[in-house]
Amino acid sequence: MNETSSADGVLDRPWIDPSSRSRQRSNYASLILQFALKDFKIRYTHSVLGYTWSVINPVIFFGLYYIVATNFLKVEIPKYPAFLLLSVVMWNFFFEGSSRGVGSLLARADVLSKMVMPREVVVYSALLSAGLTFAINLLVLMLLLWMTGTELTMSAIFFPLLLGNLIALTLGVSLLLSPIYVRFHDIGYLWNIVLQVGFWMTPILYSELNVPERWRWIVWWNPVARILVDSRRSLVYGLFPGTRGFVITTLYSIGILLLGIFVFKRLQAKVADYL
Amino acid sequence: MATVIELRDVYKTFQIPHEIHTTLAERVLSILRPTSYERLEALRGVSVDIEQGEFVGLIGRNGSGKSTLLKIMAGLLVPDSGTCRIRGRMCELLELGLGFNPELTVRENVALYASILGYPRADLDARIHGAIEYADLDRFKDVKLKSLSTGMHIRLGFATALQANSDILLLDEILAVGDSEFQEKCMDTFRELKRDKKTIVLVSHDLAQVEGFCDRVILFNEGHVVDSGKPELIISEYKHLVMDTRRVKTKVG
Repeated sequence: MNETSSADGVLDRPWIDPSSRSRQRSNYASLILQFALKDFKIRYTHSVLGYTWSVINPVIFFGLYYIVATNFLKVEIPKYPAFLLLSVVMWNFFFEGSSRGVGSLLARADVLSKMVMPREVVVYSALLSAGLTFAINLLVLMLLLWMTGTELTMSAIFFPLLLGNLIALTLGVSLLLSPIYVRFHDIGYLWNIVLQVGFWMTPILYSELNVPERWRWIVWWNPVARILVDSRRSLVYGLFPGTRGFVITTLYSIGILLLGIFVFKRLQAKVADYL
Repeated sequence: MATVIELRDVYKTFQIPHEIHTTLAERVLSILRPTSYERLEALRGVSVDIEQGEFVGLIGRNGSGKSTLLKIMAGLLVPDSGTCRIRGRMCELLELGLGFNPELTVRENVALYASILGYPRADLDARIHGAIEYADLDRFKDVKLKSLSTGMHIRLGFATALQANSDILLLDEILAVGDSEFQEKCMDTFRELKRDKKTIVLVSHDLAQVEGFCDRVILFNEGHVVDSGKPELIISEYKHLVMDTRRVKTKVG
């Protein structure tokens, strides 16, 4: 875009529909990054421990689940600490990313109703902000794997691909539900329940092998569960995920992402009417 | 002269339910009985042309459609029917201090706002500095915004928008604020913008300022353009309109 706005230059400019202005921003990526960083910063102001909270929180829950699962429920799973920490960290990202993502349009109503900007930016930045916490947690996880002597094998190359699936899934859900949430506030309550139920219906504390055969379909239909199970296989147990299962998981995540993008595109123009 | 904003037969209706059904269950139940919607016809067939270099004031009573029109020009709202097209870089300042976060410092806020407005990256720092200087807030640049007064917020918003150096500026109710020294500065800036053939569309209830600054005023009433022309003429027409309504109301009462 020509930045010098000389008076004569204006008339050489093409006519545009003003609602397409938001698409013409050149600094799309930096806008997402700025929103995410500011959000991350604001979240931890007025706290003494600051960013460390993003580590303390999962560590405390990990400890709690560990005590309950090994001592009270007598869960016997090999390499359980690594198994559990990986599951908790990945679930936390899905939980935080999707709840922030779904609420992002409404949370940023002040800016979105008064300024022209690509509306999906706030969804992406909500996810990126959850992603920053996730990245820190993954570092701690890697440290723990190293300390407990878990050796990474070739199968670990599947882990980044599974992370990609998890991000695509979380983004898809956020893009799908955030514009509907603006119109129907039920989505917020509904999604909260889905996440609470999801925590127990996903093999996070337990293994998919603990699920009786006739309930196993719950795991196979749950995309987060599919990603979790394969991630543990590849990272903790050094096993390759089944090719067919992995392809299905990937198609599942990408399918939800594409659906989200489609719905968001359809609904975003009307969003300002309800904000 | 050439047109830079063109609206043709623009309609915009907001559906406002009498009982606000925000939950799905309420929606489902309300299917059983007829829902009463208040159809708020904000704009009913508005056609407006704005020329390059014009300073246009939009006046009218509350709810007459001026702010809706401004939002359509900005591209925030999409018309139900009719067309709106623009040419040139546009910057809107629909509510000052917007995108500003009280927990961030003055500098961080301007940087964020600048990203939304799409400042070119090359001289981003210079422009951010320029905005803070224009707003006279250099001393406070690392202070959290929440410690600043409302007037300072407003100064900062206007200064930031100016730095976008756009061809068209859309302003909603901004002149009435700021202390007299800053208003003086704004006036100087407007004179400069006029010289540079920038286009300004402004919504205001401050009739004195509209008369002092606009080349042309458009009067709105109930979603229609009533008249458009020389400021003093249109403003007196507006005053009559308000008086007529008051007289009718007194009769009815």
